[in-house]
Amino acid sequence: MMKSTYLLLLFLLISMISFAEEKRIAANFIFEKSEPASGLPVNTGVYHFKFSDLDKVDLSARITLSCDDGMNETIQLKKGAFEYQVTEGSHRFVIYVNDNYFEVYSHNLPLVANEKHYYSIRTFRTEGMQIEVDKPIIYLYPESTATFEVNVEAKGEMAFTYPPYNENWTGTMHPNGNLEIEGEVYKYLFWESKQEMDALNPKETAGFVVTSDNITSFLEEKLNYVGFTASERADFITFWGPQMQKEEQVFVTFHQDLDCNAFAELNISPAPDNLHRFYMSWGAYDGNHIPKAQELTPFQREGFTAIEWGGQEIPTISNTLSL
Amino acid sequence: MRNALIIFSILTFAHVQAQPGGDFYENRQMEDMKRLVQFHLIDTAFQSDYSQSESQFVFQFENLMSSDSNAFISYSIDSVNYDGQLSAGQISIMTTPGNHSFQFYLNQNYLEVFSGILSIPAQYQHTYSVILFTRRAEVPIVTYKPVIYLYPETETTVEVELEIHNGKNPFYYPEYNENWTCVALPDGNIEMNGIDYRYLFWEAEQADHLEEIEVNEGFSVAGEDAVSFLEDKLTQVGFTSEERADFITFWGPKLAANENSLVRFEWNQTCDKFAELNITPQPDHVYRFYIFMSAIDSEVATQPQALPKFNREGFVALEWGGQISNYQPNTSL
Repeated sequence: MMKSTYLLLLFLLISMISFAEEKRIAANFIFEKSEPASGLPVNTGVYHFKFSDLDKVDLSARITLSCDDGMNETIQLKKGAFEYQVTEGSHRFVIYVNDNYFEVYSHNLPLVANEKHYYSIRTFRTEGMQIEVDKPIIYLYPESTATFEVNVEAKGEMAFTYPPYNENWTGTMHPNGNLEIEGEVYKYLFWESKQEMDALNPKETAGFVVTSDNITSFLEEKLNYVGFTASERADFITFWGPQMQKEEQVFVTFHQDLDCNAFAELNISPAPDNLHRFYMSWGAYDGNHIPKAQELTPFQREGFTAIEWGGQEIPTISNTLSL
Repeated sequence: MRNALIIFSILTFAHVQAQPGGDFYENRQMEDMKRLVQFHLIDTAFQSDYSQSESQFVFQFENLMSSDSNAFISYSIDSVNYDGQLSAGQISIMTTPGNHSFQFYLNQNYLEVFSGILSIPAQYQHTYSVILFTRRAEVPIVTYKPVIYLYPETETTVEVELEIHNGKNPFYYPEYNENWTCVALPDGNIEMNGIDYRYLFWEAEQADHLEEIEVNEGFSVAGEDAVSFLEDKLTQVGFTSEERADFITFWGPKLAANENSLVRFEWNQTCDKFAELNITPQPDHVYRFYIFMSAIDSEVATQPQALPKFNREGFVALEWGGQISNYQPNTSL
């Protein structure tokens, strides 16, 4: 069907589901068929689950499963499938394959005695997602008025630039941060791009877990600490704050300076005395792991200083069943 | 026995049309994770009087307005279109055993719904509950990023009071307590509690404006023209280059991401609908300028909107903001 109709639909679905408590439960379990099954104990039925899109190497993985919030059970897949025998009624499942996939949650799946119910399970990979690097903006603060050339080589396709970018941005920069390009004055240079990234994993990455009501104070504290000016901080917080505050809890990790080359290479001439890049990766997180606290490095703002900030929302692994 | 009523709640999901290729498909990975179930299997019953080649689906629509419980409905089975009529909010469709996919369009008050592949055995009747989404319901959307700039003629202590109308989950920056009290400078700097800001910011979830009005004037904008369109309109209205950059870096990517958008602006008093803005001392000119955009399938012919021209003499306050609307001229089925 038409793209915008579909986007519209998605938008509504998402906005509605975010009110729902069962937010984590994506529709990953797809009912295929049911058939009579013989030889089962009384009042018992069996589920047949088959993963539809596992990697070959994971087709006989040992998975962890919890039925109705019960104990974790370990089960060996055969050709990506397994069966689970249980009393008739409704049951819900959480299944963890390994950290290459997000944990999957089912709704209540009804089961009838002496029947076998087939479901296929969709998984979502934690690697290689297309993520938008949002709003990196670049400020230049020279010591005296000078011409500049800024070159960005994003690791993905440039989705949007402003002022329009053609091979580079060139213009005249002023100590107050004003950038003159073709007769217009800008406070910053702006670009966005789409890139392939992996999910965030709070168990492997140093960072912070922040609840919704603490977002603004958290960001203020961290940005003050690294040395954002008030106006840079307001640009950052008014962009990211509202998005993050919508989530009950988020995981946040920052990237500084050379680490940001993973998103884009940035070349400025003349070379600034201090070039500081500061990116934030974050995602809604409903796990309870306390990540290792991340150490941040304050900016040096002496001499000709260039600051770039940006960030990306990335799905975050909570995988509560993994050990 | 097998034809006893078995209460199921097997779930299938709002079908994500596979659209191979294109940005949309790539973007989907994240969206997929948040998919919501729209078709619930609530009942299955064996029907001994059906033949081996007969099965029946019953769809029971939820969230239906009472006036629509016997409405005419357009639907498709496996991409073949039919017309039918609801009876007490239900429609029964005889078909063959196996896999089928359905699409329903009721009327402009509801979004079209797509089933995934629904599978049915011979001689069975499966009843699904179908959750409809109403288009004109109070589905709140975000009124994004109104930022307020203040440009007094001399350094002035200014009190800015904002009364957001029917807004949920507001976000303010800097912190808002009954009002923002600040010292505003002629160059636009805003000093509050010893810290300099360039603007005051708020955001809230509110009703979808374009769904509430008759959109008879506006602009049809192709994604590739996003920047030049905005530059042109904002310059014409009288934004400074700095304000324009703030506006374009926020709205430009959103507009550029759509192949085509319907764009409409609202300004000044009309924006009281979203929030009342009171500034003391009273500026010589308070300008508010909001953009409303919705993604559309193809260009639409619209009467272009005549835009205002701001007078920037004296103490000027400027606010801009907007919404990404779900408004659609009706299409498809």
